[in-house]
Amino acid sequence: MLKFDRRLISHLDWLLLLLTLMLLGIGVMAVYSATYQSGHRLSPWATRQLSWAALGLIGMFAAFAIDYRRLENWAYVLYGLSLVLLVLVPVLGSSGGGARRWIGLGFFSVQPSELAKVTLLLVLARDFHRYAPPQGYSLRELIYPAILVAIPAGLVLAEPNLGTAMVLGLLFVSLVFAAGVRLRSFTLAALAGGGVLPLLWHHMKPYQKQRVLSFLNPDSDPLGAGYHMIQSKITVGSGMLWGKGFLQGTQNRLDFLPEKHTDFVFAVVAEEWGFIGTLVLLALYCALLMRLLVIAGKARDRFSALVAVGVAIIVFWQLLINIGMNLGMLPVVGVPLPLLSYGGSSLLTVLIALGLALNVSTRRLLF
Amino acid sequence: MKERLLVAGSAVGVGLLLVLSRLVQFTVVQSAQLARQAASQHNQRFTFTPRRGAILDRNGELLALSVPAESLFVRPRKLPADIAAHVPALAEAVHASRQEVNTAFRSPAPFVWLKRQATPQEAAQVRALDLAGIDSFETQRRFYPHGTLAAQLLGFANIDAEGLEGIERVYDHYLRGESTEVVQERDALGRSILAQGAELPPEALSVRLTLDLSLQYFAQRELERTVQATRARAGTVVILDPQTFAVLALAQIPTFDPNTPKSVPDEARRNPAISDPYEPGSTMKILLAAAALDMKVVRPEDQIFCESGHYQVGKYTIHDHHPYGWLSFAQVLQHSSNIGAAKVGERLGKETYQKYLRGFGLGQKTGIDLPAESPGLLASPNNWSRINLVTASFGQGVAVTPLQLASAYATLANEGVFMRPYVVQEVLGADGKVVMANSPQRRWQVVRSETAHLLLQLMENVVAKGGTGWRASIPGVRVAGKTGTSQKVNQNGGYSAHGRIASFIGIVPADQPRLVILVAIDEPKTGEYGGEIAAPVFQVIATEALAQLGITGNGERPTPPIVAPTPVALTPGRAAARPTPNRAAAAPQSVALPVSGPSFLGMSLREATLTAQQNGWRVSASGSGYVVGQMVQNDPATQEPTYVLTLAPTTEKHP
Repeated sequence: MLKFDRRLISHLDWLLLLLTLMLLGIGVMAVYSATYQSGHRLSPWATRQLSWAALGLIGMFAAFAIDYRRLENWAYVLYGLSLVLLVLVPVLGSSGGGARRWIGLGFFSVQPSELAKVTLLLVLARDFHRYAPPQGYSLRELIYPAILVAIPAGLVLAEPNLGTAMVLGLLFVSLVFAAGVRLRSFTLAALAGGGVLPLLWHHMKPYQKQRVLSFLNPDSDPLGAGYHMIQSKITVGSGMLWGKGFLQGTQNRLDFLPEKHTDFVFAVVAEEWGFIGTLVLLALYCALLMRLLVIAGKARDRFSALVAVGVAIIVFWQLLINIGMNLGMLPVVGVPLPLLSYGGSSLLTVLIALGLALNVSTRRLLF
Repeated sequence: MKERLLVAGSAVGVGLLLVLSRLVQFTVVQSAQLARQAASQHNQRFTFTPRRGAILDRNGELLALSVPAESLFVRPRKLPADIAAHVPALAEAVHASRQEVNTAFRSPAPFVWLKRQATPQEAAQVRALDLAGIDSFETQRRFYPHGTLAAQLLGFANIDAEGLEGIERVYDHYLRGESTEVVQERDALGRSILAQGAELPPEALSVRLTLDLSLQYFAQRELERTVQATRARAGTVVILDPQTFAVLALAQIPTFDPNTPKSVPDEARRNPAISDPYEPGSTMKILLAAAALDMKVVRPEDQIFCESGHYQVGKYTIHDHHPYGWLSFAQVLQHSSNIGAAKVGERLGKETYQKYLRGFGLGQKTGIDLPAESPGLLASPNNWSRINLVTASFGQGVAVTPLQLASAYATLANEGVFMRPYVVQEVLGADGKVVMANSPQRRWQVVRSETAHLLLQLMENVVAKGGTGWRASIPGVRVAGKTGTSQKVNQNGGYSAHGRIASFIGIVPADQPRLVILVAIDEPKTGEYGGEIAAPVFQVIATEALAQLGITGNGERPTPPIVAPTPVALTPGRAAARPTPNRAAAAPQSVALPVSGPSFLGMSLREATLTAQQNGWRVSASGSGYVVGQMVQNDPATQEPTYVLTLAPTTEKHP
C-alpha cells in the first residue's frame, strides 16, 4: 500500500525540514536547561522530550509518506476518531493542573485536544476544497464548517482547556479567511463573535477569570495570579542583550519562573540567550511561517494549499499567544510554544502538521 | 488566493513585529531595571566576620578575647499555640524573667531579640526545647577576663564587635579582621544555595601589648587603695620602661568594667593619663634643672639666695612653703624651693628653657598609639612675660599629661634620649606569627648623657633623708625621684584654694634605670603634698615591680630567684601558676590562643563543670570567677586528659 516513491527524496522540501529540526533542537536544549539540576546529566524531562521528539519525527514521516489525497479521503475518519478520543477524556482521562486532558496509552499519555487540531484542519480543508464558491462563502455556507469546529472546541472547552479551544476557533476563522469569504459575512461574524465574548466571560471558570483580571493589572496580586507575568517579565528583561548563557539563567535555575519548561520556555530562552537569541528564534519561526505560505502559494490544488495555510495558522497563533503571554501582552492561557515547549502531544501534533506541509510541498511536483 | 496569502504573510510580519517591539522594551530599554529586580530576588548578602582577635599582655596573658555566643531571637507569629506552657522553661534557660520572655512573645514585631550574645550553653538549652519561632545565629561576645584592669587603655568593643575606645579602637583594623561579604543565591522558596568557591575570611589578628599584667594589677590595686584611703577624686599611675619607652602599666582610678561599658557615663571611660593635662608643679623643676645644667648656666653646688620665702616679681610675690636663705642648687631641688627655681629659670631665659621643654616632649603629642591624646599646654615664648617664665620654672602655667611627664623623666633615665612611648608590642597572626611589630623609636637627644646622670644623682638627694621624697626610698635600692604638689586651676582661670594634685615621679634603680613610675593623686583629702601622699604609693609599687622583674638593688638580675618581699596573689589561681619572679626571661615566645578543641573561656565554674559532665571531660579548676585560661594535662594516675582551668573574677554581670 505504501510504496515509497524515490522521487519523494529528490523533491523533498529540505528547507522546511531543516527549519523544523533546528527549532526542535532549540526546544530540547531549552527544556534541558529549564529542568536542569546540577549533578544530573539529563533531567527526566529532557529525556522524555527527546523521546517525544523521536516519536514526533516518526509521526511527521508518516504524515509525509502517505499521499495527501489519501488523507483527504480519510479526513472524516480521522476527525471522527479524534472526536471519540475527546469524548473518552472525561471517562478515561487523567487529570493534571485542575483539568482532565490526558488519556493514558500504556506508558505514555496523550491529549486528544492537541490531535484534534490536525484532524479538524483536514476536514475543513477537504470541505473548503470540495465546495468553493467563486465569490466567497456566505454566512449560511459557513454553518456546516462551524459545526465541525464547534463539536471538538466545545469538548475541549469542557475539559477545561481554554487555550486549545481558542486555537481551534482561531484556526477556523483564519482558514475561512484564507479560503475566501464575503466581506459582509466576515463583518457579521466578527460582530457576532464580539457579542459572544461577554457570554464567554460568564461561563469562564474562576481561575480563568482571575487570569484575565491579573493580566489587566498584574501588580494587584504580585505573589498570586500576577506572579507568572511579573516573573516572566523579569526573566526576559534580565537576560538583556546577550543573555546569561546556557544553564546560567538565575530566574530559571532558582525556580522564580513558574511553568518554565512548558508555557514559559520562551522566557528561559530569552534569559539565557538574551535579545539576540530571541531574535534568532523569531527569525527561524518567521522563515518557517513564510515557507509554509510559499508552499501554499505554489500548491497544486486547493486542498493542499489550505492544509499548508492551516499549518501556518496553527503555528502562528500558538506562537503569538504563547510569546504574547511570556511578554505580558496576553493573559496566561495554556498554549504551548510550537516545537519548543515541553509536552508530548503538542510536539507530536505540530510535527504531524509539519509532516502534512512537507507532504503537500513535496508531492506537488510528483503528478 | 494569492492576495490572501500576501495578507496572511503581512499579518505574520505585523504579529512578529509587535512581539519584537515588546522584546526590545524588556531586554534593551528596561533591561537594567529588570536585571536589578532579578538580582534582588535571588541574591542574598552575607557578611562573614572572623572572631575578633585577642589582646594580650607582654607575656601572652589574655586581657581581652572573644568567645562564641549565639543571639537568640523570636518570630512571635511563628510561635506554636501552646507557647505559654514553655515560658517558664525558656525563662530559666536564658536566665531572664518570665515577664521579659512574655513581652518578647507578645510583640507585634516580626522579629524580637530573646537574648543577644547568649552563651552556647543557654542556646543549647533553648534548642533542646525545640520550639518553632525561636531561632538563633552565631555571633561572638567580647570578654575582658580581668574586668577593670587597664580598662581605659584597653577600651572596649561594642556588641557588634567594633572597637570603640582605647586599644580596641586604635587597633580595631587588626583585631576586627577582614569581613568577607558573600553573595549567596537563594531560590524561589527562599532556600539558600551556598555560593561555590566562597572563601571564609582569614582569622583576625591579636595584639600583644607592652603592658605587664602583674605590674598593672599591682599598680592599679595600690592606686585604688590610696585613692580610697586619701578620699581622693582620682589617681593615675604610669610605668614606663626608660630603655624603650614601652608602657608597662597605666592604671587609673576611677575605672570601669569594659564588660559592661554602658554602666558608667562616657566621662568615666576617658583616659586621663594621656587626655587630661594638668599643671605639673614641682616635678617640673627637674626639667628646668636639666636645661640649666645642660646649658651650664648653673652648677649643683652654686649658691642661690632664696629670699627667705618671699620673692617679688613685678606685682607678683613668689612663695616657698618653707622660707630658705642661701641654698645650693642641689638643695633647691632637694627642698623644692620655688624661689630658687625661679631665679635659675630667669638665668636660663625663656627661649632656651622652652627649647628644652619641647625637647622633653612638652606641648606636643607623644605619638603613643592610643586615641584622644592631648598635646598639653605650652604657650610660645613670644607670649611669655617674665612672670610666665618664673612660674613655669616651678611648674605653673604649663600643662602636661601624666604620660608626657613620665616620658620626660624617662628621657633623663635614658641617657638624655627622648623616645616615642608605645603600648603595642606587636600584632600576631592566628598562628602566632608576628605581622607587625613596634620597635622602640628614638626621637632625639635632649640633654647630654652627663647631664642626665647628674640629674639622677640630684634626684637621689630628693629621696634621701631630708629630701621631700624621702618616703619613696627603698632599702637596698637607689631611687631617684621628685615630688610635686600642683595647685589645680579652677573654672575662673585662677588657682583653686584647696584642689591639689599630689604627685611623685621616680626612677629605679637610679644607677641603672629600669622603671620610671609616675604617681599622681587628684585632690587627696588627707594631705596635699606629693612627698606625703604620692611617694609612699611609689615606694610600694616600685618595690613590688622590682621584685617581679627580678631586679636587685644594683639593677642586675639575680642568678638564684629571690623571693618576692610582699607576695601578692593576683588571683588565687595565678599565684600558684607563677612561682618564678624571673618573668622577663620566662616570657613565652608564642602565644597560645584557643583555636581548637572545647573552649571553656568565659564560662563560670558551674557552666564549665556542667559542660564537662555532659561531654564526659575531666576538669580541674583553680581560682574563682570566670574561666580565663585552659590547658590540657594527662592525669598521672589514669592517663586521662584533664582540662586545667584558671578562673579570675570579673565584675561582669553574668547570669
